[in-house]
Amino acid sequence: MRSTGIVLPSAGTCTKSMTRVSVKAMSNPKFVHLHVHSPFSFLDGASSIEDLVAAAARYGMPALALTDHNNVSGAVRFYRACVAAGIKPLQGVEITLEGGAHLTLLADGPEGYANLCRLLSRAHLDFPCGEPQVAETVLAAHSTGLLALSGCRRGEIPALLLARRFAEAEKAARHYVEVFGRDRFFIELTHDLLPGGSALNRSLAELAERLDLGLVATNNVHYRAGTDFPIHDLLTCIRNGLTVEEIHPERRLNAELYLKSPEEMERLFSAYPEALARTLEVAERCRPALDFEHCRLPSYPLPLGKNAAVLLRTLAYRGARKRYGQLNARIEERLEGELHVICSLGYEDYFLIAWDASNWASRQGIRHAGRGSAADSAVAYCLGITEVDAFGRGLLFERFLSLERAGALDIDIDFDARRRDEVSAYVCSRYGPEHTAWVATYSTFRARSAVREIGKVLGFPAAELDRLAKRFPHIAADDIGQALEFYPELRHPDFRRPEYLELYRYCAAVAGFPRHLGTHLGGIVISRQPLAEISPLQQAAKGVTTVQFDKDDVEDLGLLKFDILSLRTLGAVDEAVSSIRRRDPGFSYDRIPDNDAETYGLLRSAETVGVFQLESPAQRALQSRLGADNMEDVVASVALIRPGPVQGNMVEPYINRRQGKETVTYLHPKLEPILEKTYGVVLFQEQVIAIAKAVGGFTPGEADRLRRVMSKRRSMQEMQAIGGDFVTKAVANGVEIGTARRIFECLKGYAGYGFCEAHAAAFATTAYRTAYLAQHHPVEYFAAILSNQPMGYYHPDTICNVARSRGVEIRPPDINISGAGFAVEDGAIRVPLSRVRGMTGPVLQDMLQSREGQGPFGSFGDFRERVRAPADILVNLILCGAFDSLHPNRRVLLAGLREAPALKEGLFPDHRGTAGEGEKWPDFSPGEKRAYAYQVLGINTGLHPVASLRQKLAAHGCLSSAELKNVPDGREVKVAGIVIQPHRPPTRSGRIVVFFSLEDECGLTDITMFEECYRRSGWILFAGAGAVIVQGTVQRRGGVAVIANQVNSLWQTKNRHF
Amino acid sequence: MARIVDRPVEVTGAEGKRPDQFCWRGRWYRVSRGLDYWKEAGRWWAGEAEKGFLRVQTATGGVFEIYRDCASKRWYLYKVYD
Repeated sequence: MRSTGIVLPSAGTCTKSMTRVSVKAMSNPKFVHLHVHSPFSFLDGASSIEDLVAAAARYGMPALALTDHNNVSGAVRFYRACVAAGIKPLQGVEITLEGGAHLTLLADGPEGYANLCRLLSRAHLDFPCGEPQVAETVLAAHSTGLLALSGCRRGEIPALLLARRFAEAEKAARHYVEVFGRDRFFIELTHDLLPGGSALNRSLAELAERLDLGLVATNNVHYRAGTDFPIHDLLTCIRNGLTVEEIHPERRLNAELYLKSPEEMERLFSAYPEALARTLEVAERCRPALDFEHCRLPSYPLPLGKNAAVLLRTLAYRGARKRYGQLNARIEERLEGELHVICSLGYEDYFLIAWDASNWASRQGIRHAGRGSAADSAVAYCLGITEVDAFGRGLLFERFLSLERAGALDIDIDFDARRRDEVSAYVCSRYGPEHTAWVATYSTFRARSAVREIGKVLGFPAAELDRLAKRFPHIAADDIGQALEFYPELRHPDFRRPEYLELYRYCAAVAGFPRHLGTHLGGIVISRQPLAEISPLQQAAKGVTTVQFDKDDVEDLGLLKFDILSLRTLGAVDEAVSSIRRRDPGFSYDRIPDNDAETYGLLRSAETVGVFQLESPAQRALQSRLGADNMEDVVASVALIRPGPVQGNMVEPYINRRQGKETVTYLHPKLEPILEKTYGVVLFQEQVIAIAKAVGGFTPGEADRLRRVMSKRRSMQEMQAIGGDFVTKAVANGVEIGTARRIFECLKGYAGYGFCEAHAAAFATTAYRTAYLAQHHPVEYFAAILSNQPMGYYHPDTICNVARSRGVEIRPPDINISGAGFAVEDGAIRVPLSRVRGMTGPVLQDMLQSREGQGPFGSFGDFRERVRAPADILVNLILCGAFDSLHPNRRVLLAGLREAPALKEGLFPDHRGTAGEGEKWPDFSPGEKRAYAYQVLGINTGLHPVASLRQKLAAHGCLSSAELKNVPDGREVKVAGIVIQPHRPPTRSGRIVVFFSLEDECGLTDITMFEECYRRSGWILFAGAGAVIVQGTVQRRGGVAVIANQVNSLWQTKNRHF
Repeated sequence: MARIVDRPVEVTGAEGKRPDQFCWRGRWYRVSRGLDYWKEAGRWWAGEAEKGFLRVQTATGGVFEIYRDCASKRWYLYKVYD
């Protein structure tokens, strides 16, 4: 019996049962696949890594290689899957050489992996456009630790042999021997059952013999089983922009590139048994390449002679004196405790990096605010990274960091979206391109994208696919079948046409496959070690350098991520503040009082559209009932309207206790100081940790483990084990056993849904301050949030409507007044020219510069002489009324545009407009003007469309949102309006509840639709009805809402009045 | 030069092996040598089955491509080389 000598990796996730089965199966291994593509070959791999690894293990293979095209993005997932299956992961890659030839490389250990990363980095960064390519010199410079196989048919040697250029093939082989060494370069035989395959293998074997090179057999695996071939073919078609009926050399002729069993490989390679045996030798020579043991901490460039820990202490204390004034012993104790943990774990450089970035941003005037669990740190607060006083609020540092929970440190900072890129550019330049890169994302197929892309390959018309895809909610590609059963709007037989069902099956097969690498919204890794040794680097479409791993894989590799996030709200705040200061130079956003009665009044009125985090219908409903009158209410609000607390049924008890309708009790006196501020309800994760410490006597690390078991894993076994531990320790701590058990049950019931208080507090500060702006400076604030779209929950038109309902006039664009953004103008908001459909940056610049340089336009003709605007933009400017101040008749202006006849069709229903007869044209009616302006701007600048129907609606018995405010609870009503944001959040019972708002000329009406009604008529909301009439029952709980009994499209009512 | 025929042909030989001979236009051609073998998936989206192709030399020196349709298990003469 032959032993491979392969040693299993020692990572701890390998389960005993899997190891036992696999080792038994491995008693007589015959073959290992050394050339395998996964979906991380991006549209050239049709089986998941997990499926491939499981198949290899089932076949008794002791190892498996992963050799995706020019990337190692699947490496971490592959490693984990192999360890779990009890087989050895061999990390490799199929590189593309300069000129397009392929070459299969395997890393024999960490050094080889580092070289793999280096040469891939050069391939990507030196060839940022098109396919990455490894230059000959680069390959030679980074060949140490690599084993090379001559490649598939696209390899240099096989391609030359197929072309019968034997001498050149031999020369190429000799070159590879020089680069890698005779014992590290192998001739690869692949029996892919394509024409000429047998002859090619004979030529390759002869060449190997002549040069004394080893043969290895592979199957250039692209999918697990032959039945997966159609999926691979579809992906190939997507990659090459083909339909299935088109012929292309990239499309494989047959279904042979699957993960064949050792027996199948034996049959295929019966003439070359040594090629099979050598796969085992190659596998034996390779060690696992990835290093998961080390945390690769970043390094902050210190001034000469300075020590990072000392510098951090100095800065923290300097900041503390600024924040708190005089320091007392308790503050010092808190800072010392945090500094001890930070420095013991070696995170001082990371804190300095975060401090440096926020400090630089402050100096540049870039508004920012730390978020997430970093706000649990008093040091972060003192360094100016966060704005939450962790000490003052009594927040637990252990939620963020503890000695027992090293790794996974994550500081997230929001920056003004308009200037975030300046901060990331600063960070990248500060630490150098070798040490910084953006984190990648794996963009995967979802239902809509899969339907569109696969449907296109199968030849469905684009318009039909667009219609079909849009009807699906944002679900996974393999959830389409369930969705067809579940959602009423998808019950129509049309969705079940046989050709669609076939399409859905293919969609399900690619669910979760990465389609391409994307760039994380704000995650940047900074590493002391050159990043190109840990991950290949490449250039993203937006010009930044990224690693090839996503945030989870980056964390597994021991890299620390720093989230430089972009928040449009901060941009809006900055613009609003600048605008307010023009009127009130003394205004300071940072000194907004946190006890402003009118601001809390606004919250209680639930008129919070535009307020950060508090504007959704669910938040507005909460605000109308909660009765917020202090900052703690705002913090709780942010935490309460989340799927967890809503599903956990925490909202009702919280409101009742807050309102004094339910008695606040504590299971043990030790809980009172912890739960007092949340009325005895466990709302925050920090409270779970505090209870575990105070009642169970847990260490900070143990307490945080309890929090994590409850909030994430929720494995019953783990839960029972930690519960037993809690009760035992609580009893030892003097708590009666029954009480200890009840406390743990209570934690189990609530804590799983808890929210990080520090994060809630960080968001609450911005939420409250934006509410203050909305209350006291609505014109400036609404103008600013309109200028910073898209942001928040609502469409700009809804924001304009809300602003109007609060007395703010929305003025149409004016060619001599409007600018690039929404502007404040004598207590009104002026719509900008940038809002005009089709407007381009250069044309806008041209207009504004002309106005600035030569003064206002005197006439339409003057404008045309001074500005070179394309006809379609001119038409849209006319239609939205931008020239109304220069000419009273829009149709006359349009008639003068000779060059835009196509665009004018429909605007002149009876005659075609020509120059000269212009003055004969009567202007559009007010209704036409409104409709055209809405088409061009996407917002109403005049009468709301529902207002024009009000008389008819009233005759139909429909109330306006204003009238509804005076209707008593339980009354049957009809209301009508435009459907805003219908959504179906998860519920505890699993039953569907749809929430949406109806917008009319007076404001918003919130509608709740329960499952029965949804099943009957809910499909209308998701089928693009636009405007509806809702019949339902008024519900008054703080605010007013309607519980829907029936919904009809406004355009399909019985008498068709509308 | 070659021309495509793509017509069913009768063959003799053991199941699962290379045919010993095939009949085309009423004449039997004895296969003396297999020159190449490959598989083609065909138009799978239209329900076509996989085909196993053989390029063979006959005793008379002619070169032909024949294939077996894996679904119908029938043999076809695909191509004749001049």
